[in-house]
Parts: sequence; structure tokens; C-alpha cells
Amino acid sequence: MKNEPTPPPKFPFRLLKWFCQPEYHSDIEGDLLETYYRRQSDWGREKASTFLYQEVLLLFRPGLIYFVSPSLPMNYRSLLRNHLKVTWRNLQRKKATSLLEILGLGLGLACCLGIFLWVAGELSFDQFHSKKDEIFMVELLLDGWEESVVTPAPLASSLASEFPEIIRASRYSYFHDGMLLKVGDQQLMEQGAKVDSSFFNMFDFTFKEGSLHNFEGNKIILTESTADKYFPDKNAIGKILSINQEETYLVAAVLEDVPKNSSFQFDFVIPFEPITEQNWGAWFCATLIQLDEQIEPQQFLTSTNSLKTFYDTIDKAKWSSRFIPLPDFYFHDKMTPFFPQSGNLNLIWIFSIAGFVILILSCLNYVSLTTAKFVTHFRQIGLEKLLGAGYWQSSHKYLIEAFLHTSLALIVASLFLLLFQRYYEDIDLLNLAETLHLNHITWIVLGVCLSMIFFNTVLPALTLKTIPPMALLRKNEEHTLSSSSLRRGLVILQFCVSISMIISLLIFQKQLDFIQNKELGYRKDQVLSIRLNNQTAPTLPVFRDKLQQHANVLNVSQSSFEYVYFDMTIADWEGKSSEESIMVRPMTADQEFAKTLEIEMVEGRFYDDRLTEDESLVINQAAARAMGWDLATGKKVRLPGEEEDRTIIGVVKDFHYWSLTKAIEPLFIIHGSSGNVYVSMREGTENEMVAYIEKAYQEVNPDYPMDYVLLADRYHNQHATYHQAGMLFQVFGIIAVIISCISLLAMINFTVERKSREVGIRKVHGASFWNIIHLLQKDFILYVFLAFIFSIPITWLVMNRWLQIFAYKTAFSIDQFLSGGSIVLITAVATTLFHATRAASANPIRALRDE
Amino acid sequence: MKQRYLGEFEEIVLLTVGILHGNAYGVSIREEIERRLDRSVSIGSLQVTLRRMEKKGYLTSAHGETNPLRGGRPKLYFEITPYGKQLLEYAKETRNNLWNALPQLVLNLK
Repeated sequence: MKNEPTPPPKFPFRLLKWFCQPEYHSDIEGDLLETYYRRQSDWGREKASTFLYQEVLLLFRPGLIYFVSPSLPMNYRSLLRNHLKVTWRNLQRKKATSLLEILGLGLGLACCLGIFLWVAGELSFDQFHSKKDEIFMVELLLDGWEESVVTPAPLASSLASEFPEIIRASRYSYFHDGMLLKVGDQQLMEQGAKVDSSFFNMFDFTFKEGSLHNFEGNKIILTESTADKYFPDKNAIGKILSINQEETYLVAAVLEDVPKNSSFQFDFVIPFEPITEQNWGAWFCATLIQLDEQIEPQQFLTSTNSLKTFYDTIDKAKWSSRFIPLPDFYFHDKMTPFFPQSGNLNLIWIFSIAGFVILILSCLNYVSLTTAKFVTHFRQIGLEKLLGAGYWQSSHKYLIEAFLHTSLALIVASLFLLLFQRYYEDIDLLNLAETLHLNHITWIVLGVCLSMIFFNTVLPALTLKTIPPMALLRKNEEHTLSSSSLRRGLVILQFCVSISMIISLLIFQKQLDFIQNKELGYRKDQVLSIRLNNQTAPTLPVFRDKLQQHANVLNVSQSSFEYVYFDMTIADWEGKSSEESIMVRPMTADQEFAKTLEIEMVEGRFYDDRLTEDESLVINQAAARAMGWDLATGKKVRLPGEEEDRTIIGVVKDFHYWSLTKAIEPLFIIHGSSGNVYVSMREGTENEMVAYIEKAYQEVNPDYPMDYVLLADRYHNQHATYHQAGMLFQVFGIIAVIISCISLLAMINFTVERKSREVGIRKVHGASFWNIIHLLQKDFILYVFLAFIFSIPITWLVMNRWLQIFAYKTAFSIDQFLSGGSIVLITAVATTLFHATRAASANPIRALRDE
Repeated sequence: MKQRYLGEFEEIVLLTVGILHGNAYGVSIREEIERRLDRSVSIGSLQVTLRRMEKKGYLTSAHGETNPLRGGRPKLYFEITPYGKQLLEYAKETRNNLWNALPQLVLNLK
């Protein structure tokens, strides 16, 4: 049987031609064809084709493959050596330009390294717990109330016994004000926490000595540094110490110090007393639960039905709950009862973006400097290209340069960071470095540097690719246009960023000033706020008498002014129009309160200690408005849980009992004594009076150090985040402007160099000094102007968004935008003026003779 | 010059080229080896070996006639050089010497 031979598939032969050495190709192809036809007649077409493919693939071996251009490696190496040499020489020869480049890079690098370190530090909070994905905190939502992470004591144990999915649960409470620990003569206030013993099975706090065994009753666990303070001889286990002079505790174990990036911070831990009765009204602790690792957390947490029935069984049908995962603890805004510090995700976002912007800005700056140098290197690059260098090879030069510059910039950046550390001690970078692992830092630095090098190499190389070599050699202006328009774009972009930053900074600053100078409705200067606890509160009358003896003490009052957290629903008041209810904030105050804090009365009177005030009430204007009263005095209102109506005796002018981020809400000032003691002092006597008051306090309460704060400081602290952000913003803004100016400087340098002949000819023909300045600077002014126009909408959007944080804010004004633009314009002109002046006043002959 | 030695496959290819005397080109060498030794040889390994031996000077090659079945590609005929022959003889001689030195006893074991 002999079929007509069909031609073989083409692809294997094409493949062969592609990889095979041309010398051997024809013979091998012949052999393959011959074999193929023989096989075809023996076994048929298909089998022969399969064999053919197999054979061709087997031909792909070192002896037969054609390696591209054996002469290339040589060429490559010599180019590389040449580039290294040229880079080094350039660095030495053009000291000013190189310095500018390295400074610009270093500044940007320092900024974004600092920012990324800080961000990494913030994000590392609570990440060291191995069960971090299984642990949650319960947040209760009551119908009509704000959600609360402060939960009733029995919740933890009931949840754990009710749900098999919850394998462990613990209560956690934190002694915010500290407790007095005492051993012998050594006594200090320490921060402590109260937990159930399962706490230590849930979280990864390491035991150094002792164990959790029998952790109940009067046992105490100390951290290592606390233990060392009280028991310097290192033998703390089994020793006794007293807390608040009352109870004695036995040291059961010593923990390693709590890591700095832990939300839970404590010096000592004592156990909760076991629950004896189901008292669901005692809200004071956090409820922490750990789910079985087999359970999908989302599945359990969303199955609200079972939780719903659980709340029904304990007769709290109006309750529902949410679960906060452990990694979110640090960023949750309601955690102040439990954690001394908290993070702010918004701030992290703002800073990460700022970090990226600065990184990009400094890279853009670097790239525009490098591409500017192209013109001077055109001949060299053109020649290299003619001799067969690919554009990637030519761009190796930029890789080497970028690498060298980035390494030098890294050194500069570390110097900047050290300098920064000296002046801004609030942000402790070294401390950050300690909490992060070393390899994290290495990754951050490496990542930033590599992306910098990549960016700095790829853009110039891409620009190079577009220019044909002959055009490079001919020094044809037309073809250099693409690189110079890129550069122009970069400069405008840079200025856009810096103008936006400056305008934002101005708006930011204005808001901060506004906060600082805002009429708050109460006196915050020269008022001392002293915190009392259960032991010191009973001594208040004696203390008050002592204080009032001094002529510089104006008034003493007690009020829960700083603790306006809760709300209550008022459903019953005089003249109520429909079935509505309002939420008001309750606050207690004694009769001296309005005088002490100089709160103005709009109508009526404040409380009087000569009258019984059980049935009277003072409200603020917001409350009067909410209840629809024009004249509130004499009106009746019923408080929840009370039998009798109360009569309004006075209305105070609205005052900011909260920070300015929150609006003033309706406030009921109820007569009573609880909260802090407020002491107002005569102006200018602050320092001596604090000392006097502290002495008086010590006389009354010898066992407790006075815990106090000035109201002005408290107010400042309420907005501390914004002050801190403002400070950093300032640093960033200045850096952005400096980086942009560096690139301007390089640009004018370059323009002057290129236009030196033109300037010479114009001068010879009688152009004046100012003509030349105008010639050299008009472009830059145009750039800044364009950048200004672009930056207006961006800034407006971003800052408008930011100002939404505040309930009380300043308005934008056109002069902020104008002054932002002009600051940058003036800086730009001033930066370039020096070079322009030098060019304009140089002897024209020198420029013309230079052939 | 350093004494060179033949590899096992090299020796087989060289001998086959000798056997085919005057008709030794890629396909025929391959078929001859497959027929005589009953082992499959890929074009790739054969070509690499042929080229290598050519470079070392054991073989010479010359283009011959063509054939429509080869797609118009000429056959490349190989022939052993005197140096190649010398190497073959050397290989055979050393092999024989070794065989002769082998004690009868060892051969009887089996």
C-alpha cells in the first residue's frame, strides 16, 4: 500500500530554523524530511508527525543551538566598565548637580522611610498574638443608645457557657488612674488590669517566672520591670505587696514586659472576683471571647439569631451585639476605658498617601534632572547606539547612576532621620524600630529603595528609546522635544503637589488657630482639674475649706464636666407637640460650677446651696431649642426614672463640654456632687498655686499623690492629634517645596547653559538686563501658574473632606489659595533669580567665543 | 598532543560510518545502528555526536547528491579520517589487552 506522500507539518521546521545553528540546519532538515517520509509510508501520517515533533524537540540541545551574537558579551562588559567610570567622574566633576540630585533623593527617602516606619509600627499593634484571628471583643448595642464596649460583668461567662463555639472568655478592666502599690518604703502609682485567668490562655503574654496556677483571690501578677522596682533582688514570687493601702496581695508570677505594640498595657494584673450573682446592671468591663479555630468566625458572628435568643433568655430583648476583631482594637475609637493609647486609621491613610506623594515627587525630580542631562550626553548616547548598543544597554548607565545616587541618598536619609529624631521627640523612631522586627525594616528600606531605582531608571530609558540615533548625533532640537516636554510636565506636576500642600497647610493652620482661639463658653485658663477616687472623695469638704482659705483661689467646684459620655431619653416635657423624644446628655454639678468655670447664664439662675434643688434643673440653650422653648424658666420636665417633674430654673449659654469635632448637644446639668474638683485661680498665680494645692491635698490625703490637669492642657490634648498632624504636615510641605525648588534650580541651570549663546547675541544687540531675566524666567512663572490652576480643585476637594471631621470649622477663603500660590511663586523666582542674574550679567563675548 | 579516547556512543557511530563506507549520512547511519544494535537513536544525539567528532577531527564530511524526499536538501556524507582510524585501533587494542589479562576464572563465574 503506497499512499501519495503528504507534506509534513510546517511548524517543527520553523522552530528548528529558529534555534538551530545555520551551518547544520540544511543537513538536519534533510535528514528529518527523509525520515518523516519513510515513517509516513510505514506507519501513516499521524504517527510520523508525532515522531517529527519529538525529534525536533530532542534537537534542542547545546551542541546545535544557535547562540545570538557571540561578540556581544565583550561589548557589553566594556560598555559597563565605561559607564561605571563615567558615572564616577561625573559625580566628581559636577559636584553641585550631583549634590542637588542626592539631596533631593535623600530628603524624599528620609520622609517616606520615616512615614512608612511609623505606619508599620502602628499597623503592628496586637499582631504578635498567635490567636489574633480568633479573638474578639463584644460591643453591645442597646436600642436607642450608643454602642458600648463597656459591658456587664456576667456577659463573658454566660456567653462562654451558652455557646460551644466560644471556647474561652475573659473579662478585662483597666485601672485608668493607676493604683498605689506599696512594699516597705517603696510606693508608686502603677497601671493595673483585672482579668479572668483564661486571659493568659487567650493572649500571648509570656510568663517569666511562676505560673497561672490558682490565679484567684489575692494573687497578683507583675511585669518584669515592675517586679524589679519593688523586689530588686529578683525574687518576687511569693512576696507580699499592698494595693491602695488596703489589701495585701501575693505575687504569683512575673510576666515579661508587655510589648510596646500591644493595646493592652499594664504593670500588674489581679484576678476578678468570681461572679456570684447575675447582676446585669454592673457595666464596667470589656468582654473578650475566643472562638474555636475550627469555626469560621464570620459564620458564627453573623448568625445573629442564636445571639438574639440568648439575649431574650436573659430578658434583654433590646440588646444586640457586634464583635471587634483583635487587630482592630487599637484603631477603635471607643477603647479609652481599657487602653491608654489608640491609633487613628485616617491619620495612617493620610500619612501613607503623603509618603507616597513625596516618594514620587523626589523620583520625578530626579528623573527630570537626569533627562535634562540627556542633551549634554546626546552625542555619547548616539554613538553608543550606532555601535550597536540597545537602548537597555545605554540605559545601564542610568541604572548604575541611579544605584549609586540612591545608595548615597540612603546615607543622607539616615542622617536626616537622626536629625529629625533630635528635634521631634514625640515620634520615637528608634522606639519604633525596636517594636518592629529587624527584617521588617529591611524590607521597608529595600522596597522603597528598589522602587526608587526602578522608577529612576525606567523613565529615562523609555525616553531614550524614542529618539533615533542619527537624530541624537545631529543634535536635532526637534527630537529632543519629547524629552523636554516630559520634563515640563514633571515640573508642573511637582509644583502642583507643592502648591496643594502649602495651601492645605495654610487651611490646616487656620483651623488649628481657630481651635486654639475659639470662644469655648467656659474658662479654661488657670483652672485646675483634680481627679478623686473612692478613698479621696470623702475628704473633699476638708480639702475645699483648706483651699478657700487662700486668697488666690477664686472658686472650688465639683462636677462631672469631663465625663459627659452617657445619654438619656427624655420623653415627657411641658409643651411637647407630638409623640417625640429627645436625647440629652446628663452632667452633674454643684452650685459653684457656673462661677468656677465662668459659664454665662442666658436666663434664670444657677443652683443655690441655700435652697433645696432636688426638683430644679439647669439646661443649656441647645436643650431649650430641642424642646421648643423660647423661654425655658419655669417649664416642667420629667427625667427618666423619677416620680416628680423638675422645674427649669435657668438656662446656660452653650459651652463646649466636648472637643470641637463634636457638636454641642442638649445638656441637662443636674445638681449633685460627683466627678472632678475644679479650682479656679487668680491669673498669673498658676505655678505657685499648683504647688500650694498639691501641699493641701497631701495634708488631707497623705497616701495618694494628687492627680491633676490644667483645663487648658486638657483642651489642648483633646486636639493633640491634630496639632501633631499639623506639625508633621508643616514638615512635609516644606520638604515638598524644597524638592521642587531643587528641580527648578537644576532646570534653570540647564536653560542658562543651553541659551548662553542666545543670551550673548541678544546682549550684543542691546538687550537689557531685565530683558534677559524675563527671557530666562518666563517659562518657570508659566509653570507655577499652570500648577496653581491645577492645584485649586484638588486642594479644595481634599481639604473640604478633612474639615468635615470638625463640627466647628473655619471657612475657605480665597486669600489662602492666593497666598499658597504666591509663596511658591516667590520661592521659585527667588531660587532661579541667582542663576538668571549671573547669566544676564555675564560678559557676552565669553558665551559667543565658546565654540 | 594529548591522547584522546572515544566514548562508547562515539565508538559505535565511528564504526558504523566505517561499515557504511561511502554511504554514511545521517539517516543511513541511524538506521544501520538501529538495525545492528537494536537500540533507538534520536537524530538530535546522533547529530551532536557527528558534529563533535567532526570538530575533533575524527571525521570529515562532504555534500552529496540531493533527493526530492529531502526537500531539496543535499545529503552530508561522512568519512573516517586516518586520525579516527588510529583512535579506533587504539581503542580495540586496549580492549583486547584488557580481555587477555582477564583470568579465566572470572569468565567462568556466572
